[in-house]
Amino acid sequence: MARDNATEWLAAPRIGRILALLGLLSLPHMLQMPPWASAAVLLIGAWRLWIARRGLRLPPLLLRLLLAGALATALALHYGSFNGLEAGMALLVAMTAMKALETRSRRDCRLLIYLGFLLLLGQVLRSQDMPWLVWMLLGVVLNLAVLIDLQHPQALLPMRGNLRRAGLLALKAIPLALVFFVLFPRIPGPLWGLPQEGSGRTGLSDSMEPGNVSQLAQSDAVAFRVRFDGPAPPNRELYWRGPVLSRFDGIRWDPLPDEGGLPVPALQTSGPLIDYEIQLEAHGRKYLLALDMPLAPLPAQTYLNADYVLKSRQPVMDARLLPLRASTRWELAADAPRWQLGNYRRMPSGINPQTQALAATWAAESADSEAFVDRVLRHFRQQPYRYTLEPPRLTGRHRIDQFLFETRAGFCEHYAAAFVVLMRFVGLPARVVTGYQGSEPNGDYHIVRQSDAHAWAEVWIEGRGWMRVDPTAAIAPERIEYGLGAALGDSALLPGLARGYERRRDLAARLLLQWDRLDAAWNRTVLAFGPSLQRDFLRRFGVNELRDMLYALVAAIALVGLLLAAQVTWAHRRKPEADPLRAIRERLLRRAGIELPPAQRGPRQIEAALREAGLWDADSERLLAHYTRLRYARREPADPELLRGLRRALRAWPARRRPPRAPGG
Amino acid sequence: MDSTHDRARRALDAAGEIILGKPVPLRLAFAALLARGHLLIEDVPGVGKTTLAQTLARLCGLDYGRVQFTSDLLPADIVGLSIYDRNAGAFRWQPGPVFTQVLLADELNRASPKTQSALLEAMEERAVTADGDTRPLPEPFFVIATQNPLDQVGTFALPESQLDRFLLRVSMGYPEARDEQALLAGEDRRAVLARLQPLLDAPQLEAMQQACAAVLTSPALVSYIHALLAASREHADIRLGLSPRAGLAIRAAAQAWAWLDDREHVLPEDVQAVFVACAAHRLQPRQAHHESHGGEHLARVLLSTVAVP
Repeated sequence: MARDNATEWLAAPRIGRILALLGLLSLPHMLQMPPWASAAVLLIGAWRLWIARRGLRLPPLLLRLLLAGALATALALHYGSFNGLEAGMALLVAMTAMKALETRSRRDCRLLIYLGFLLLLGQVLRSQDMPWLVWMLLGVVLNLAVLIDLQHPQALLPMRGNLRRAGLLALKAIPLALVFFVLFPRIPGPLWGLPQEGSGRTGLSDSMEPGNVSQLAQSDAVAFRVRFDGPAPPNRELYWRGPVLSRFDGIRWDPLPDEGGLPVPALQTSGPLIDYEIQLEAHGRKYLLALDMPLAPLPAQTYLNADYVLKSRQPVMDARLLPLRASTRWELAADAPRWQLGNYRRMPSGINPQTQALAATWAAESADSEAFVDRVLRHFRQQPYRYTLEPPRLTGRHRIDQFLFETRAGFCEHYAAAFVVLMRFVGLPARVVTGYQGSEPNGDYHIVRQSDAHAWAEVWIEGRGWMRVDPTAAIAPERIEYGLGAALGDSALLPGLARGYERRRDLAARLLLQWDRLDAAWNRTVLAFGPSLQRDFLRRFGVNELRDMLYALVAAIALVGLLLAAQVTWAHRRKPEADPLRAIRERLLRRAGIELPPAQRGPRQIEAALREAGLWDADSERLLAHYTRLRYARREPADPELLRGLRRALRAWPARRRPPRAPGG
Repeated sequence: MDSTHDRARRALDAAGEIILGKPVPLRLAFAALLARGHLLIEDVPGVGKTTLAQTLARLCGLDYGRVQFTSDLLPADIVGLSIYDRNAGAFRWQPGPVFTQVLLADELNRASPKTQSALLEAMEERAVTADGDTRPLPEPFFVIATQNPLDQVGTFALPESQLDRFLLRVSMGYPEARDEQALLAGEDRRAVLARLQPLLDAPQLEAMQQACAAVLTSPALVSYIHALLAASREHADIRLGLSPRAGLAIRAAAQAWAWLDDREHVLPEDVQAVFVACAAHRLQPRQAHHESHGGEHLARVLLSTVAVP
């Protein structure tokens, strides 16, 4: 059977370690890859191990090229292109496997380890959540341990020792990492700037159909966290304004385009100002959330649109920290000219005739607009309407009719939609506002979950401007006062953390809340440490300009370097004291400029090396014999007196050894 | 007057005339004799294992016995047995071939484990116990066992505990082209052997053995040997590390090696010279691949990892 000498060094246990490491580091990527690709990668790894086990030859170049080409092509076809994180990582994993298939030398092995570091880095692009920090540290230590293993020419070193050394190395790197983290100048953008595919994110969508808010409400994922500067307003005032939906096609509600050119309406506020900070989870869209109503100053890179929705200029792809100001007593667009309100009165014609008739009846009974609004709310309150996460499905053209007159059961979006339709039928401008309502205190901040998602309505009334009307408050006032758990009781659809406070006593829920605090701290201090936070932080230490920042960075690196150098010198200075003769031998070798492996520093071997270096003469022979006598021809360790003699001889030794001078020079 | 050392050198040179081109195995074999240890020669048939044993026995002026091990050999065939003497009306002890000074145990691994262990027991005790009597073996007592590589058919591998009783294991290997041609062109080795005059005798050998045991091992050297042992026990690829007995063997062999160099102290290089021969047969690789060279390879790896103090 064909055996390959070059692979003998890389016997099965050694390549096995490397393959196991790479397999572990690829795992998070392989879970995201198409199953056939993960299977191919695992097969290639197994093949490489089998080759090592049997001492076979590596597959020929042509076969490897074909295989690599086939894998790359298949991945390109699957992903469409290699742009984007998932496609890029899949290619990296596949090509790492191919590299293993041609790995035979120590250099190849090192390259594989470096690829292992890249695989780790790839995971950071995908998620920077705190648990992955642990994964990263673990991966770095494992990578280093195998890298240390490769340094030995022949033997496999015990893994425990490798891990200890690698752990120490990683520990020593932490100060440098901290220096870079704090001082390396940040560019605006996320910590890891890579556009991500917006899939898999939960959050409010930009449009609304009956059913999608109630679906969102079944998730207890964190939507955002809030930290109030002062006392938190009561729950019923916490309306977190998200997308405003004004366009209605009979089923769907959509926002007006921002490019419509309508001016941002005037806002008057009274009452106290509320300063707070939102720590928003990534949701992949452009809208932000703000307490009704947001006030200047707005955070950088954000604006208010004509519907008074706070928006970001870029999609929110990473957790973001937004310092905001709000007032909960407000008057919006009180003096808006009627031509600006046309969009909020538009209705598709010919649908929901029963509703239209009902609105007309009530309008005839009502003295003014406000009386009409009250009439509608009274209807919701007095008639047997139900508030539920599982409303019956609405079908057909006349869905509002069906809801108001037949099913009479719905979630907030049903009530908000029905309310707005009723308003519009009598010519009152109205719109649906989606967002979140309420919050849950946890330590010094509040959590707003997806289960707090909510929809309400705004209606424009002559002389008063836009008024918030929440029909849900008429049907299920507990929802607004105490949250979804209080309103729905023990609905099976309600996620554990969204239930009422009294259900929070159990340990699991409390642990999860504790974890949320850690997560919040991680997001606030580490992930959100962008240009502005960095500037604020460094200003406290008198570092104001980019130039100062760079100086500080260089100085800190130099300081850390000096400390490490000091540590290394200190560690190396201590050892020889225990064995003075070894120190003398090492000095002899240094002076002679001879490099010998530690396992070959016996006197005969030193003699041979001295001969080879052309340094063998009567002096060096005497010196070496002196050393050998003290080292190997005595039953007791040499005493200080004898050692002094040898040291003296050693000091004298190289002094006589000058480079031959040119005659007459 | 010749020093004992010069005599030893001359004996070694004379042996080199017969065993062509194998100075290192020859010197290791002689060192084993000087260190009062037993020698295991592992090699394919026909490379001169028997000649080596006979040469050593003759040069040292020692009695020489030989047992060809086969699978049907019984323990009594080696150690001897009591025979009922009808005339005397009593049992008479009939000593086996083990009662000699140099015993060549040829193809030891062809015998059954029971027979192997009878010999190995005698080697360890330097005495034979049978019928309740303990009979000491002659002094000096030196076993040269040969065995075929383990992958040959019809062999019983010696267990580790018994391999441990051999001080050294050497391989002869095929001769170099030049030496093999000299061998083919020259006289029959057996005839040369028959003419060979003893250069030593038992008392002289005894004196040499005592001189070897007196060669100084410094604390640094002891720590070197210990580091090698410790490394063998920690190494990931080694199933079973070196025993304390192996450490003593390394020391004794290194002393003999140093003495043959006419030195009164052991150098790390002496340890390195004997280490592979001392350790290879005692090291069991964890994985069974590369079976034939596993121990030797591991021993070299240990030598290359452990720093000289």
